[in-house]
Amino acid sequence: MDSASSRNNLFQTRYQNECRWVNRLMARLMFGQWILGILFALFWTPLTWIGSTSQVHIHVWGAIIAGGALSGFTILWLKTFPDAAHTRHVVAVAQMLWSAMLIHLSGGRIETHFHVFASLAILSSYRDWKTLVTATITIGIDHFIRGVFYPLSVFGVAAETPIRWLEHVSWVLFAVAYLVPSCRRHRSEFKELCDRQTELEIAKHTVDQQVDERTQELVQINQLLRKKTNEAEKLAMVARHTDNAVSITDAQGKIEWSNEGFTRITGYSAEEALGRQILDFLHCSETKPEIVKTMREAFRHGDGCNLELVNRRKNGELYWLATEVRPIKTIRGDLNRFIVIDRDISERKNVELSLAQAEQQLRSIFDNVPGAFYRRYLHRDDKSIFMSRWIERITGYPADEFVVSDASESICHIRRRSHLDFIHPEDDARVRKHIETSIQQRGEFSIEYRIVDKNENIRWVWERGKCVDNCDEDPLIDGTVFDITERIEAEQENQKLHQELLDVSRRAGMAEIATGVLHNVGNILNSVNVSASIIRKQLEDSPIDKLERISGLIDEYEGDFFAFVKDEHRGRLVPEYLRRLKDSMQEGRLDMITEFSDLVSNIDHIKAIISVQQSTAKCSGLVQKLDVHDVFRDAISANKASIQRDKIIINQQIDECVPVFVSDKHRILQILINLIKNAIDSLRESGVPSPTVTVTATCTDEWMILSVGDNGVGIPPERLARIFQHGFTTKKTGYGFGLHSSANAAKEIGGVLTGFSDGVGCGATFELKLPSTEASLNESIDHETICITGERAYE
Amino acid sequence: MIDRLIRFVALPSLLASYLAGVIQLTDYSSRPSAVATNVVWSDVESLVAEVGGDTNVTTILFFYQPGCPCTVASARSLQRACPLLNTPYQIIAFAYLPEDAPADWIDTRTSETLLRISPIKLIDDAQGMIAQSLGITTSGHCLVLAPRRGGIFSGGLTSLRGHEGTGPSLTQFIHSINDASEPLSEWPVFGCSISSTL
Repeated sequence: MDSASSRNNLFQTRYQNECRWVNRLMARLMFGQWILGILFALFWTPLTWIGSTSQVHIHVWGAIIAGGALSGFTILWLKTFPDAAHTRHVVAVAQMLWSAMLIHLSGGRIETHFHVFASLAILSSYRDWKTLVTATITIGIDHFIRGVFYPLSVFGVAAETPIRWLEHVSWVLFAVAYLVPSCRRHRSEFKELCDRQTELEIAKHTVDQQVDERTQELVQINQLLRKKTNEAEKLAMVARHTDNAVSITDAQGKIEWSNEGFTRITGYSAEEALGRQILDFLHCSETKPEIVKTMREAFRHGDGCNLELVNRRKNGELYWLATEVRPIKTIRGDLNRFIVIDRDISERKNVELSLAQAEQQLRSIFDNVPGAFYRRYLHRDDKSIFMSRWIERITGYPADEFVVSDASESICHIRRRSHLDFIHPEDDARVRKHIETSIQQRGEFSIEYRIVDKNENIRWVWERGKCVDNCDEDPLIDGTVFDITERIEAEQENQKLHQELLDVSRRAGMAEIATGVLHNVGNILNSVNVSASIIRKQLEDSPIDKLERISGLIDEYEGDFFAFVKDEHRGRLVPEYLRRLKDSMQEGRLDMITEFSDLVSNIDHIKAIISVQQSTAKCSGLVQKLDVHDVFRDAISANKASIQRDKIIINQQIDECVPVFVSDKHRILQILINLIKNAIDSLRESGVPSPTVTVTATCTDEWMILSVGDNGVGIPPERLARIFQHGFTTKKTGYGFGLHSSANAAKEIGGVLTGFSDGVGCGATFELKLPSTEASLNESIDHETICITGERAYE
Repeated sequence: MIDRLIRFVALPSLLASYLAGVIQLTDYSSRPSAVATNVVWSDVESLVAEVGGDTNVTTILFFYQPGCPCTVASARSLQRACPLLNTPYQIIAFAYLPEDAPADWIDTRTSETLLRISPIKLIDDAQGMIAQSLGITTSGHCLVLAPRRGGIFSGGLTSLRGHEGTGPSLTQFIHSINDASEPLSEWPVFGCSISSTL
């Protein structure tokens, strides 16, 4: 924007503001005139009268309505078009109409005409001469019309001449003639003022811009200076407070400044070091001469160097020092001074030494553990970055041939071995797939496989490892490879032996089954023998010889047998004899029937035992509904001979709640017969005066318990734990098979066999618990070991 | 919408109101209240004598309603004209006095103006009976009774309502008194009504 445009804009803006101010003034003037008109009307002509009655004078209404309309019109125009040029002309016209109305209402009083001149003076506030022209034209027209046609209204008198209005207009023109130039002058001055202000503002803007630029530059310089100062302060702080010893020397190596760290490390104060050669503080007699030489050469030639050396403090203490010598040169390249930074690295050196020793120990351990440890990258061609030396024992190749020295070498695919290269071809696919799968799942892997070593020997190895995250880099795999060839061979030998053992066990099992059969059948055969003996005795004692004697008498008295019977004494005894013979034979027949029944039952039992033993291998038995009364009767009957012979009292107690149950009858009989037989043997051995075998049957919610107790010799506590073991017996003629097979039978039918005894001479009780619910069956299976070993007896 | 309302409704309405007001005011100022043409001058003479007036000098009878603002101009016109009269005269002003008039009823600017004229005699016209007896109905009505000439002027002294300027009626008023040859002239009267029955 150029200067002229700026000036014009400023003038327009300020003149607009000025006009708005005058507009507000004129609006207030309009409002004031309206109020004054009303007040004048109320003062001069408040009422009009009709006799004694009055009403508001029309002048009051006129002042309110006409004056209000004129002022309202003007004010509204000012508000609607505040910045328009025609607004000023409307105001001029309205103000002149106010003058005309007031002149008319005052009856043309000459004093009222001054309102016109006052209005013109006020309108000149616009500094717009055209406004005055509009006002002049307006009042001129008014005076012309009223002066010619209604002179009393404007002049107050009847005009003597019709051009009197010209006189009034002339006076108005007189005033306007002065006001117009004045307006123009004021406007020119106003414009000139704006021009000067514009120039001043431009100048001020230019100066401000220059000041801003300079200020900005100063601020930047100040910031830079502050930044540099801060850096310098920080550097000074670092140099002053760092743990390192910092020394500044001149070009000849003489110390010019040293920090507190120097004193702390060397033991020499800054005052002691000032002016002395820095080299004097950087070596001792233990320092390697070549290092001292290197430092000396560096100072001599103005070169830098980094060295680690042994030095002594002021107090003679030996320490390790890392020193850095940096030459400082001028812009032209001339040596100016040296900065020497020393760092006490004794601790690090000690740690390095410890670390080296630890590494040596670790390597020794690795090398002596019978397995190869490795670490390799996941995706770098299976090459290892570490491999322990035991790999040579496994593969025949030294560990160095498996290890890439660094990552770049692994990337460059320099030919190195991998332990996976030795996998037996038949195992290769399986091993790689297993390892790959495990690594993809980020899990551990463990696999045994064969390798072909350097000498073409096939060896078994066991490799295990896991994937390790490597800080967002290529993951690592840590693993071990163990030679398990001997173990595999031993396992193979073991398997062979196991197979042989299985064969032997099978034969032993067959023998055990045979023994069981023989034992159980033998038990029953005793009863069979007893029954057979009884039958034989019955047959031997049969009165058939007596029948032969009767038959002889009949043959003897064949001709007159009836007379013999009737007349002779002997003959009369025959009928009685026959009757007794019949009774005797009938009794013997009943006994034989009973014995035959028992014999048949025992033979059935033998058949069942054989059948069960035959089905033992199939682990199944005959399951049927059983009444505990029948079971006890059969078991007792099987031992009937012994019971009778030893006059043993059988005490049978069966709870009413014991239900009919479902189980393998012959296994239960086998168990109960064994238990009753053992009880009888115990009673026989003890010789107690009233040997009693007590058989009971009770029932709980889960179990049905069949028990056989005696008051015989009892069982010592130390033997209770072994009574169910195969081959263990307390009887002189026993084989240690009965209780063992009974416990096994109990287990096979889901039951538990347990033994109790309070000690020697206190008798013993055995309980067969049979499950009455499925839960009990499961529990019995869980207590398999207990039921076999009889430990339940101690609980 | 508001802008259009202002431009096309409010501003024209205000301008029209102003014009209507100006026209109404002009009409009000220019329209006379009444013209008394049936004055019985003998009754006037009797009245002058009755109120103690000198019948040998020119008598100016001025009927007014003290509260009428328009009559102030008539009183001032009379006051301005009196020095111009070259014959002896007397002024008798009849102030309309209603029945229940307050005590300061007559103390108005019109009465003050009239009292500044000398010689003048101010008479209360109770209920306007006197004016009514003469057929005077409008405040500011002026009658001039000259000896031997009888009535020479009847009407208002102002040319417009409340107009103080020198008008034809006032000029005629002076001429009628000063010039013995002037016949009776009658003028319209601009003022409030004296008679409550009008």
